[in-house]
Amino acid sequence: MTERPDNTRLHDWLHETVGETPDPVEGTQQVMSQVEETSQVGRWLPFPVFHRKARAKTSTATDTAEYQPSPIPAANGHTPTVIGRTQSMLSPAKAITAGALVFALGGVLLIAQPFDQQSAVPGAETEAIAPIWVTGTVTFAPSCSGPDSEMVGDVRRDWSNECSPQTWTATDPRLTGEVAFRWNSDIYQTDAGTVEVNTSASYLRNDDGGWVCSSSPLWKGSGPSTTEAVTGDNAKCVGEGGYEGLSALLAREKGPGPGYSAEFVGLIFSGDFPPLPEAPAAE
Amino acid sequence: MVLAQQGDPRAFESLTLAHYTRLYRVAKSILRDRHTAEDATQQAFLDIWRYIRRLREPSRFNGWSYRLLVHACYAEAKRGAPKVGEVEPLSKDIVSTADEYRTIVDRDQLERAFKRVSVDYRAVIVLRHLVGMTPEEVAEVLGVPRQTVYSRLRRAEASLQSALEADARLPETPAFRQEVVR
Repeated sequence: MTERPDNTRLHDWLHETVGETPDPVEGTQQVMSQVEETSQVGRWLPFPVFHRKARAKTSTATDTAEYQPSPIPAANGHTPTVIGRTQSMLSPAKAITAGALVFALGGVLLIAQPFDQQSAVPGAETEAIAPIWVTGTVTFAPSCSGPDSEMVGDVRRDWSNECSPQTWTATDPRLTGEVAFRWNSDIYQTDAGTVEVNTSASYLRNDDGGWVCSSSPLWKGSGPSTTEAVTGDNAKCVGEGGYEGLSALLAREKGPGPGYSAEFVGLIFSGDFPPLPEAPAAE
Repeated sequence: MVLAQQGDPRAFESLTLAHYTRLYRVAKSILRDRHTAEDATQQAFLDIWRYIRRLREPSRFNGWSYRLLVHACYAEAKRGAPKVGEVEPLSKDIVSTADEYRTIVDRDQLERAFKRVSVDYRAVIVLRHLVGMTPEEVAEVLGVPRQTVYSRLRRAEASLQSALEADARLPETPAFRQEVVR
């Protein structure tokens, strides 16, 4: 019996050795006894991030880099990436065009408005604003799609998770709108259960501009899937379009529970997040 | 299906009843242990309940449920050895001929060899040879490229062959022989 097992033999052997199947009624009852404790919709979404429409495949390498979610500062010691802002602000063509438009349309008056009126004015990002506190509610998407999965060694790699659209309703209209929420996960089986390292991106669009937010929450679970957020969720957001030049930091308590919405609190401010501190000099 | 997606437990109960045996057979074939297979099957159904709203096309339920089941099997396998050392009943109670003895030895060797193959390879073999999926369908279920399925199948068969050869080098247990030929 050392010859290579042919397919027929494998097929026959597999069918023969399934053995007696348990009573499906009993099995179903055992499943149903746990269903009540199992919330549907599955994961409570990590902090929603704002989303833009998918870019065409013709995007240049620069475009791709520009729109990658920014990593959490100090994560893995990498320099943080600022999304889609630095290039736009420093673009001479954009600056000239914007300047011409401002003068042609009387934009000088817009810029001269008091700070408290600038918050909802597209284009006002060229002027520094005082930080503004924001509170709001995330209403989760009614349906989700994905993920695609692959086992890489002992790690389950999930990608193309998406729950969209979420709805953000905030005290500041700039953080109000529909959000596409996506995330990728690496899922590890440990002695303490399932652990998921997660990179999430949310893309918000409204009539005046958009935001790209990213976060990396940690999830855990007792089964093959994770169901509980271990950490709270802080999302770093970078403004785009009419909100270019603005940043936001949004915080949500961990795990919104089996409900369908969650509260958040945050701050909108001008400019970038502080840079990553330099590493100490080698001794 | 739609009602289950809307959170109707009765609809999900019917769905579970209709698909329980199908998923259990696959779990049992991958894990080779009844109790572990039942645990994996139940966990798969809980995951189906949890994530069923993500399933946009109900026609893809079978493949999608296999995917969740395979992941549940991975998790069960990671937890370690079967809880109970279970002896599976043979399909024939009395073995009287040399051919039948040979068949049982073959089955036993295949069983031992199969258990030496990693669980992700077993999953590919089971989906391909028990469920009868095409490599393309296996690729979709496992969420891997088709070429990965082909290479896993090749490696799985090679691993199985190596395990069989290693097993053949071991002396047969006299007690076992005595038991089956008496």
